[in-house]
Amino acid sequence: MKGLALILFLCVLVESIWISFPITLLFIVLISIFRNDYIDLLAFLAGVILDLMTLRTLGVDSIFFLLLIYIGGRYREKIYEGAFIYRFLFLLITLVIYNWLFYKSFNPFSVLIIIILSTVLLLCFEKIFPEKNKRRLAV
Amino acid sequence: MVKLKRIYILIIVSIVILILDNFHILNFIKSPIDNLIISIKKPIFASKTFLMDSPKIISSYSQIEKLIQENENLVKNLTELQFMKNKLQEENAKLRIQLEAPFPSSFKFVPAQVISLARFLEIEGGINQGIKKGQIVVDGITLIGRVIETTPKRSKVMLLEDPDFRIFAVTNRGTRGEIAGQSGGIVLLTKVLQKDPLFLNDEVITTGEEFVPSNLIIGKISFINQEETASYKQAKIAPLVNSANAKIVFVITSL
Repeated sequence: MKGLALILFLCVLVESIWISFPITLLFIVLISIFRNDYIDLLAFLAGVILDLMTLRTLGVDSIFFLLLIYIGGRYREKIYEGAFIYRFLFLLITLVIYNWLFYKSFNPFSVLIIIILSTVLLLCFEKIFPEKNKRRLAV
Repeated sequence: MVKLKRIYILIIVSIVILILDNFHILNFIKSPIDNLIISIKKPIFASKTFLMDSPKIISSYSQIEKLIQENENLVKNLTELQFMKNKLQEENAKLRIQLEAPFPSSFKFVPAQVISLARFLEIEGGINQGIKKGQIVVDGITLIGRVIETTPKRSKVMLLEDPDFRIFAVTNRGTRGEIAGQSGGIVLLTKVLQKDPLFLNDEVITTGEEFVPSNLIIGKISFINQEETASYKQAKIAPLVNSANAKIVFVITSL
């Protein structure tokens, strides 16, 4: 829990200070796929802190992250237990929508980066948490 | 397992926060947090700039090294120029004062930088600048002392308050006497006849004898020692210029 919170906090810092890329969302989705411990709480806190850091209206990111976890839970059989492509598409679509909504970025280059990063990180997480992958998120 | 109920609660809380913040009701919480955020963001952003510049720094290391060297040289030059500027400004100010001094046009002055001060004053300037033994050293129209030794580039000046210093002087009331230094930085007007008037704050100037220009200010009488039985009376003189603070003086090389 603490380790995940730290990772998410670092993501928030990086996203709010260094880059215009939804790295926090990327890790929230990845963690929700492979770890289901308190991800809703972490997503809520990460969203609030991200809003504070980026001077967005408080609660916007939290709602987005929580809705995402909710949708992921609703379609868990497809997303979390199904083939790799479902997880990949879920990640890709959420990232593209978020990028478009919050960063107004919808150029092919950013989509390409999202595709590459999503693929690489998904594969890495599947290697790192092989057992956890079996413990699916359920709502 | 993520509980559905908890997600609902958190979503509701988020919506409430969103509404409250939309109406700026949460500003009282956000304002103090801003200071914390700024203190976190500042160093991280600075490190970003450093990280962004790192490849450039590494690739152009030799050039940077050269620039650092160049910068060091420039800083050194700047310091030297600053010093020179201050020195020239000081010299210029002194020259202005000196030019306004009521000396005959035949007088020639050599400005000299003070380089040491112990018993004697040592100045930068000697035979090469036309300074000779016995010449008078002034600051404006105030007498500082006399050159007692010279080398090609340096000169030694005996100050007014030196026990060996002797010069004829006169007060603004016409009372004659002899200036004699004493140990402890005291300057005395001695050999004043008992009949001659002496008053406090009387100005003491040079008489113009023994190759010393006339009307150079020596100081003001600050104390009078009058003993009826003595043949002479004497007075203590407060010099107008403190030699210890002198940085540039002028040697009168031609009368």
